[in-house]
Amino acid sequence: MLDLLLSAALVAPLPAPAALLASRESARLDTAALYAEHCAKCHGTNGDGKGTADLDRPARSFLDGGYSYGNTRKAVLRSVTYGIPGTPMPAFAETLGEEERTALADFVIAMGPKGTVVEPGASQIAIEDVPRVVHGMMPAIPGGPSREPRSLVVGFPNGTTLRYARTRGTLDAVYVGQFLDRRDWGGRGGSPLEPLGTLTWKRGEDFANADQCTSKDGKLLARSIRGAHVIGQGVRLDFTLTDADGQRVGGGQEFLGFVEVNGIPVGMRTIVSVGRADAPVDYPDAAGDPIGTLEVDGEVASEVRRAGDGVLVLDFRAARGVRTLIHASEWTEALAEAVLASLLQKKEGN
Amino acid sequence: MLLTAIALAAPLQNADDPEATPRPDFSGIWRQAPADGRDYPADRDHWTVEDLPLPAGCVMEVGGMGFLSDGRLVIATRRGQVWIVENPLADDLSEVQVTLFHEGLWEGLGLSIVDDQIHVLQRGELSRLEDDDGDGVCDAVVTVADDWGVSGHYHEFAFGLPRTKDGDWFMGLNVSFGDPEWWHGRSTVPYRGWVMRVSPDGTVVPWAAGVRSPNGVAVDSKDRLFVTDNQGDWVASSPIYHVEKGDFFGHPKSLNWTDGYRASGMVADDEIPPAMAATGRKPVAVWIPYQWSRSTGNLLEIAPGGAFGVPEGQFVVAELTNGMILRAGFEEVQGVTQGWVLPLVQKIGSVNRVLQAPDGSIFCGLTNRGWGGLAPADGLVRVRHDGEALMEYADMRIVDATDELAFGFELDFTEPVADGWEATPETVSMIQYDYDYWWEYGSPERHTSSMELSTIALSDDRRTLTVRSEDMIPATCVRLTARGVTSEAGGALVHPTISYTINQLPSGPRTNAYVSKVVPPPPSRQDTNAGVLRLSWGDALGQFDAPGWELCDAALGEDAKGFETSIGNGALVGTGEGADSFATRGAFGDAYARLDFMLPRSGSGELRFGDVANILLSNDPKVCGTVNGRAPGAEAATGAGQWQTLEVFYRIARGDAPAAIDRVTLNGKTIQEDLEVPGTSGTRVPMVLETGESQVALRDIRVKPLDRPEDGREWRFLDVANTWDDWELVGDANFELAGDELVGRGALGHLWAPMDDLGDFTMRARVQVNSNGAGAVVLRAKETAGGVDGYVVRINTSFPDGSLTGSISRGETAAAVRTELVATDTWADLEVDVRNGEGGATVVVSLNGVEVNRVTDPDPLPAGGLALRNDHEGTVVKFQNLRIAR
Repeated sequence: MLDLLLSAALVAPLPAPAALLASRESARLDTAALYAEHCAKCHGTNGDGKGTADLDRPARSFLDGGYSYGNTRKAVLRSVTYGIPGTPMPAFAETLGEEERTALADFVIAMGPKGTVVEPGASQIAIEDVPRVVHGMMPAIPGGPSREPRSLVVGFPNGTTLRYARTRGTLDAVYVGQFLDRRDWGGRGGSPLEPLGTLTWKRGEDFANADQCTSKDGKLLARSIRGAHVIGQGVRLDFTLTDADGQRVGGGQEFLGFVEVNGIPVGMRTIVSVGRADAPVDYPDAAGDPIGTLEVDGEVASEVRRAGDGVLVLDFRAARGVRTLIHASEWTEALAEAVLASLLQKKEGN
Repeated sequence: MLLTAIALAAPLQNADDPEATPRPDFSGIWRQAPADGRDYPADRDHWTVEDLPLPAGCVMEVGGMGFLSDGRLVIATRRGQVWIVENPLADDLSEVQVTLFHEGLWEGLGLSIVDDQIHVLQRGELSRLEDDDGDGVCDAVVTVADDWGVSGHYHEFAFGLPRTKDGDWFMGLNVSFGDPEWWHGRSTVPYRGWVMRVSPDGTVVPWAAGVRSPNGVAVDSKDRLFVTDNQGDWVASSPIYHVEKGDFFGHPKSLNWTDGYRASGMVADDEIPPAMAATGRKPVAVWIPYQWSRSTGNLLEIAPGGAFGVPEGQFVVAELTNGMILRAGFEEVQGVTQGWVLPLVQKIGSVNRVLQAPDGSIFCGLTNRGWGGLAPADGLVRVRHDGEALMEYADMRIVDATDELAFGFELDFTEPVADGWEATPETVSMIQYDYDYWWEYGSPERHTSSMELSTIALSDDRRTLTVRSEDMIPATCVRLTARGVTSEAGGALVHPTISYTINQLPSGPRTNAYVSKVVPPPPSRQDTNAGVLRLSWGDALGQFDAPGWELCDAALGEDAKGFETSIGNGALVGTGEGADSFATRGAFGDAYARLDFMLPRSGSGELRFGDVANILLSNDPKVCGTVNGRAPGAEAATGAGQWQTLEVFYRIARGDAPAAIDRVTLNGKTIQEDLEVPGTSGTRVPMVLETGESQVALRDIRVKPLDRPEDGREWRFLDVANTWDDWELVGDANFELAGDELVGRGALGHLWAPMDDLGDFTMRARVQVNSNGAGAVVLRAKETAGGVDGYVVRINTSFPDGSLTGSISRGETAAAVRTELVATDTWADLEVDVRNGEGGATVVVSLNGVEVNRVTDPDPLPAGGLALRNDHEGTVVKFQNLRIAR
């Protein structure tokens, strides 16, 4: 058999170059012809929905640009592939290959009006002089928090971005660099935002809920951020505290700002939490021995402990319910001075 | 201001009158100038459409609009921006100024202004935007309310945001869609597919269910709530609902969040209509014909004054696919809201939102991103009436029958009809139709027929057309067209066709029927294993009471009433003495059942589903498939010795709704449909085949229960996400929370729930396991020196240890299930009840609402805990919706 095939191949002349070219051209996809053969009967030769087929309801007008399942390439390709059962639109999965179906999807979308366009760079939010607060969905972080639909993202002019899970009241990540790209501006929307900075910190188990509150018997309370206020160069987050039965037992405010240490901005979160008179609130104990102290007028105002990798925690003896978290790895004299100066400035009402 | 605005509008040019003021040249701002070759319908002669200029870079995808008290217009957009438009009513558009107030919201699709405070409905919350320092830029975003579920699916929009007289808001929550079953709506987190009421203090109350994409939410001057929905699965065409508390409009997925479904663990099926679809839906007030609307936006009630050319109290409806606004009116008939709709102004652009200004203008906010629609795809448009009279339907109302006259309609015209036009069957016609209520995307118009008009009459003042027809029936839509109508001034009837939805006739018995009628579901497109119990897979007889039946191979033989059987596993045949009956051990309520059967040459059988259905099996095609004495509607039987497939969809009686056989198919052909069976007991029933003296061969028996047994107990949901810290993992497994799923992997380990006092109780959960994986739930569990003691109920679809899903064991004692009831990687509803009684502790296991195993332990375990178990490496076992009741 093989001998016969080989003999036949030896006998048949090779195609002339012109014929080769012609065959290559005919092998290229002729989408217009595909449309005319498979689609025009219902959708009209020019896509106006006025084909010759007798249908139980009008076919889509591609010129008008409305589609049953959305006008993105993926959605239209799905309709071409699987059809729209219950309507006269058949499935073409068996009769047309994927390349043909994709070409048809692009072809019919191009017939329609130009949709909303996102100009390059337009969806990026830049921070200029004052902080910005953005609501949206943030993507999962590998090895860290999962995708969070109700995220609150705070960006500062110094390039720091804080990412909160708003309804849990947790700081989940810190980025440094540019702010955000609003990827949900494109296509059908609903996509996660894209943080543009570099991830420098993510919430891990060793953080031990240092920014949460507990009831007096040590049970973790649910913390939900209910307001974000831009005040000068800082941001204030207002939160509520509820217990396991869903009863509101307190609330508070979290002040976001920075101190400068040797020219480098160091993030500070000062959390002020208040409970009901009959249900005082507290913070989870920071594990480990103190690594330093903050002194005011020679007296220890707070010990300094670690709250996980890269975060220090101060709990003020004189001000119950006030906890400050500082995104720094080491408690240095310069940091202590900067923190003290910042706290005193606040005390003086500046 | 109103009069001034009208006076400024130029009158229509009269070509014969050289003194007439020339018509203003709108070509500069009338962007769809006739020169571009499009047809412009007659309504554009009476309304102007102007694009408001926007600053460079501003792409206004409008989601919400509202006026401040100083007349500035506020716009919320899908890009999360809020814009303020100054001088929105200026005739000179160069005076319009648009500035950015805020950006950074998550797709604002509703806006409300309360005491000049801007409120925006984002996907995840209703927010109040505050400008603390009065510099015209938002400084603070405060959460007013957020008590609804958001999974992150791209289609979970939140729409709004009208206010009632007492200051509450209403909003609508879109469903999500399946993946990969993108054609099915989903409600995986709380209240998707619901209309919600929100108080200023943030209290959110679920108000009504059964919506799909409730893009338009409006409250009228009578505080009535209207919501538009969008054609799609379960929604035949785009409807307008009149919503009241507790209503259900038909999309089943939202039912997952009703108390009844939550308590029973029932999950709305993707394809089978829910039981309450038969009589528990609220009728749609107005169905908008498909050619007029495919994606409806919001609606508004026209203010008094008539400045827009529309009578006070009627409604303007946004439509974005066809790019126009429609006009609608409602009336109450026998206590049910119904009404009419027709186009108003066409070829505007993708109108998503409409808002009426104090001068009567209507602002149209455009967007169609991701949905498609008529260009422009975004922007802000102002539509104004030219103030001149036009010929149009002013109103339409249904009229009662009399002893001599049939039911009918009265249609008022805005102007008297010109002399010479006569109301005849040639000039006036009416059709009627209805729709299917099914899971497919929309429905064609069904049962369309021309109506014979027994009365077609114009009133003496030539302003009212009356039509009557003996063909008028409730639960239909009608469309009336009047041709050649002109006013005395020569103006043609702008929109000759008007549509009316008849839910009820003005008198006579009220109907329970709907315009969108329940029909048997079309063939499935999805994985057919979901929810199915494969009763004869694996251990083919384990789930049946079938004395004398065996698993073998069967073929036609000499015996006319029997088969030749041989060793094999191709068929179940009654070969023993007295083997004339084959019954499931389980009892079913509403269900889909399928089986293959084969008859010998003189074979017959009778398949019974309790007192609901009695189906004859016969070699005679005229007899095979006779149900309750009704002959089959088609001859589909193929004859002796051939395997044939029978499918039955049925429902048991429930409340006022009788039992019904929705559909029976034989070899893929529908042979019975829509058979009501009154007078049945409403009890759950086994499936029984009586074979008499003949043998019948069976195989591949599968049942999909479509309901769950009623259970009025109080269920406590184990809110794993919020109690995660209290759960304890012991062993080498790894359990983690992934969304609303609890997933176990790794080696042997137990995840202990934070409770240890479970004595007599029932546990329910949705469970799933992968190929060759296995897990379990352990009840009255306790850690012992030897490991964990307790009643172990297995979750195992394929690991070959002889103990499949539903098996019960404690120590060395076991009651194994060897039937492969549930498919791999397929969710199943598991229920385990453990209760002390006579004889010891009885453990009963049900799958998908059907009991599949039980065992009584004479030496009952004391109360203990609940543990989830991952059995071995390679397992991926999943749990959802864990709950217990005592």
